[in-house]
Amino acid sequence: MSTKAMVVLSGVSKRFREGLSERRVLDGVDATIAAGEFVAIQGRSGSGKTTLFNLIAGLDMPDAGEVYVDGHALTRLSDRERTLFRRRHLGFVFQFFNLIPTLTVRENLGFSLDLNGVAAAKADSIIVTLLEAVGLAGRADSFPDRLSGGEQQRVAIARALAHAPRLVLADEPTGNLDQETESGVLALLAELPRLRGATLVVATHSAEIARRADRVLLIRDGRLTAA
Amino acid sequence: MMPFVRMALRSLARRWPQTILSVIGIGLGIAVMLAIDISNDSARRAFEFASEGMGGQAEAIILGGPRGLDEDFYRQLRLRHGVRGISPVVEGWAEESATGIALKIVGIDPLALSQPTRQQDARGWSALTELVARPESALMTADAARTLGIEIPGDLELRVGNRRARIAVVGALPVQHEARANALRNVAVMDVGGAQTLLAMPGRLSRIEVHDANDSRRLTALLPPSLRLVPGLSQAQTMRQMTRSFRINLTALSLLAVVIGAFLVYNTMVISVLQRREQIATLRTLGVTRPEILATIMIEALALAAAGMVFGTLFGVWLSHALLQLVTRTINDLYFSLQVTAPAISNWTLAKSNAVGVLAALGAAAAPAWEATRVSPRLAFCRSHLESTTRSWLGRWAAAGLVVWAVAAAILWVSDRSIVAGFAALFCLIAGFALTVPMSMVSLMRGMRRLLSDSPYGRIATGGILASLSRTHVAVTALAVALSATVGVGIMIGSFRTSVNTWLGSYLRADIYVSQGTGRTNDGITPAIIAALRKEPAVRAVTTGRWVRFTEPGRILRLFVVDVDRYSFENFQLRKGEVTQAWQRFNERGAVLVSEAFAYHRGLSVGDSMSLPTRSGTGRFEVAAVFRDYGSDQGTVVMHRRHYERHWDDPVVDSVALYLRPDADSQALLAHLEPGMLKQSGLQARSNRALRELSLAIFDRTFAITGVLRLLTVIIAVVAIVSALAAIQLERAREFAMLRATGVTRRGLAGLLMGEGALMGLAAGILSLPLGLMMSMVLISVINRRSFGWTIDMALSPEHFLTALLLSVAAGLVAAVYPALRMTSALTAEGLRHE
Repeated sequence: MSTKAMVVLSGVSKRFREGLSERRVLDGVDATIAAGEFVAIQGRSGSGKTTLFNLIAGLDMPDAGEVYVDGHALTRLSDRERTLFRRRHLGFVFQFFNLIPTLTVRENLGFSLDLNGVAAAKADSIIVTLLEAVGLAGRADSFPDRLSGGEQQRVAIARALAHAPRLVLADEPTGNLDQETESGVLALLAELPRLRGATLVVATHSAEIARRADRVLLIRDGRLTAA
Repeated sequence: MMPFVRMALRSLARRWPQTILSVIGIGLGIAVMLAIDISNDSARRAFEFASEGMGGQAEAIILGGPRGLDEDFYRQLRLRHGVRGISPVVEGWAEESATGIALKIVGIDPLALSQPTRQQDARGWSALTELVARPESALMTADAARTLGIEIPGDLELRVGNRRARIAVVGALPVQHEARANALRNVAVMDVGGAQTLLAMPGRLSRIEVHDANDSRRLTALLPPSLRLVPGLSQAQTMRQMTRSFRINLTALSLLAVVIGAFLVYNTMVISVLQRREQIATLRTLGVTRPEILATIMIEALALAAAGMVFGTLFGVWLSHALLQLVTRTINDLYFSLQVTAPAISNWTLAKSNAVGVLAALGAAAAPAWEATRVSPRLAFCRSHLESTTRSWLGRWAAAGLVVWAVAAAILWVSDRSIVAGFAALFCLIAGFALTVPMSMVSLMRGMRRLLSDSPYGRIATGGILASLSRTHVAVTALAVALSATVGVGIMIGSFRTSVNTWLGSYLRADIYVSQGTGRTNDGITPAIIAALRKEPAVRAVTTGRWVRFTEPGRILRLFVVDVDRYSFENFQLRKGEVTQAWQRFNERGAVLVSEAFAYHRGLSVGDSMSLPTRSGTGRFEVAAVFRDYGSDQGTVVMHRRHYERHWDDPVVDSVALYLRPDADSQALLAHLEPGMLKQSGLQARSNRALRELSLAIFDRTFAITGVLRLLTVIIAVVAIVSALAAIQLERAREFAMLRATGVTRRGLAGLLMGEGALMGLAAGILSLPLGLMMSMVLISVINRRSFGWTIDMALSPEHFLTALLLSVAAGLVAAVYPALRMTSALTAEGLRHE
């Protein structure tokens, strides 16, 4: 495992207004995730896992502190720069898959490659390889609504890896799957990013994911601690 | 860019029913605008051809009094003053004996036409010279001959007043342009001498055309006070000016259709964006920039607009044939005789209408597209956040609506008489209203919820509408705006008709009206006939009338000469001025009455004075009163005959009104007069009732085109609401499946969906009423006043409001049919599984 830091959180705080009151979700969080590491983040519902993810992804900004990803201070980038940063360096896996319903499986995978300007021939080869890796080579031309939940999540994993991101963020990736499907998806998620040299951060309630991770961090009372 | 184009097009394909409805909506908007534009343009071009003299467009025209000018003056100009670039014209009307078709006789002097004109069309020139050799001969186009059923060469039997005449059609008038052929369809060209004989105008000319600009400058010094030199273009300009208000009103109505069509696109795009908030959030998370999101939505709008363009252009060209007939008929009824048989479609017209349609579609999509770029990936997945955001904006939208209304009021305040500004204020009124609808809708729906609180379905239906406010307010606003246009235009037309009817009741008090038929002569109704009518035992009193038209640069002045007594004078409903004083000035001092339209257009009031070209030069006449008149939007001046004859050498009478004794039967008198004296003299008579019916029929014909546009606007509105409601209902498939799973029967669910549709329709219907009323007030007090100069009394009828309410509920029910069928037939488990 490389010792270079992929994610650095330094004194990160985030509050949300709820009516007249204010809730502090993250309170001076400090953490470092090394490149190539597989980290699981656990915590109760509403503990701030998704908020932390949004901050690492540059989808939201902290009220205080700094977020560094692959050496880039996200808090100092503009909205457009953060968007382009996500496009090039991050991959996402969502609980509800979030495939683009108007694009086929092949096109969903090709989307990130298109955005990153990968040539068509190279993109085709990447797509074929990834679909074979997730066991869906025969479903390339299907639309997402024709696939089962497990199949959709496997496509989502393949899509997250298509443009070879440095960091893959997965938010409850098996939260919407049955137990049998979960283990298949989990196996893929645990193996594929690492095989491709990506860092993997997973927010999860799943003990199975936690067991497979290199490290488990626990989020509680706005603080991030080792489990 | 390809993945974005692909996504946009696939998204449209997936929502194909909404896509088709949107294409129809924007296409209809483009079609209506295109058809109106083509019709207006065709009529304008037809008139331009018709207003050209035989020698092309004259530089200037010399006009005389009501009976034209003396031929000697023309001779003097040519022989004594050496003015060469002038030609005489004699014009009048005859009736083809067999068919009764009116034929315009145009007498010209082929030898006097300018050299360049001769060279322009050698073939036409050689045909024209044939006329000189045979004064009783004529030329007409092959089309015109076909219409009259004669061969060329051949003879033509004509009636001019009570005289009959035969002329020989010796050749075909060559025409190179179809519109020119249409303009000449009811024209026979003769030598000036032949025309004078035929029309009983010995030694008189209708006008002298001046073809050389140098001559026109010289002529100013040579004209006696009784003659006027007006620019040659003025005839076409006058006609354009006369129909300007009519054309602006049609264009504004067609723009309304485009606005409603744009609302439909807005509706579709808003719902499309709302439905795809999660997808957009995913895209943003994956690294798609805001401009790329904007581009995706705009590509969708562009695709809708492109499909709408194709449909709109095809339908618009087809529709223009029907609308052209209505436009031409209205111009014929209200302004001047015009023949247009085929629409003139130019690339510019096509480009203009399509550009407006596409810009409207893109403009309508811009707000939702911008909204899409603001979608926060963090909050997009939270529907309640969207609804609470929508609710938090209601107050701000309503406040913005009030500001837009203030802008409308300010425009009206500062714009004085501008018609375009009037329409700008009207569109601001609509926009302001659209912004206040969501807040009003919430209040209304809460009220309905209280009313329906005893029924669980009632609670679910009203609750569902309020819970989906982000979607439902757009659909309700679109329908309310479209319906309000229907209510507003309906009240305006109804009020106008009531005012016209009241005016006719006051203005037409005689029992029988006698006038010249189509073969009218310059002699008018002879004194012998008037004397004979006076002698009829049933006749108590007779008044005579004479219409005189003075061409002025850019407009036509209509003078109505009457010999009314004090009793008949009260037929004029005075808007300004006191009857006794007005009568005294009118009868004794030669003051004139002016119609409201005339007073408005020329800024006149009681006590002011106005000028008219008399035989001794320009005469000044005091305005005794302003009277109500809907006969002409150009306005009318009324003068007593006694004073008229002092200023003009014109004893001609062209209409007679007969007042019968109380016990007399007007139908019996008509039956007695028509076959005898009137028919022999080429005159026609109408009873009071027939004339009122004819006037109202013309009124209804005038508004037929408005009716067509209104119907099309309603169709677009219904398409909008069907599209929006169906989308909203289909989106809630999961919720409805859950209701089925918890024991709601198919019938219960269908009832719930139909009920929701009807409630939303009803809300739109109720909300449309105040705007409809406000629109009618602006249409009546601002648009009509500024366009035509007359005032209309507002007449409200429950029919307009009930129609809007019924239409709105029906639209809501129709919109719910497809979702109801689909939801009640879908398997519950399937519905629950799919988002």
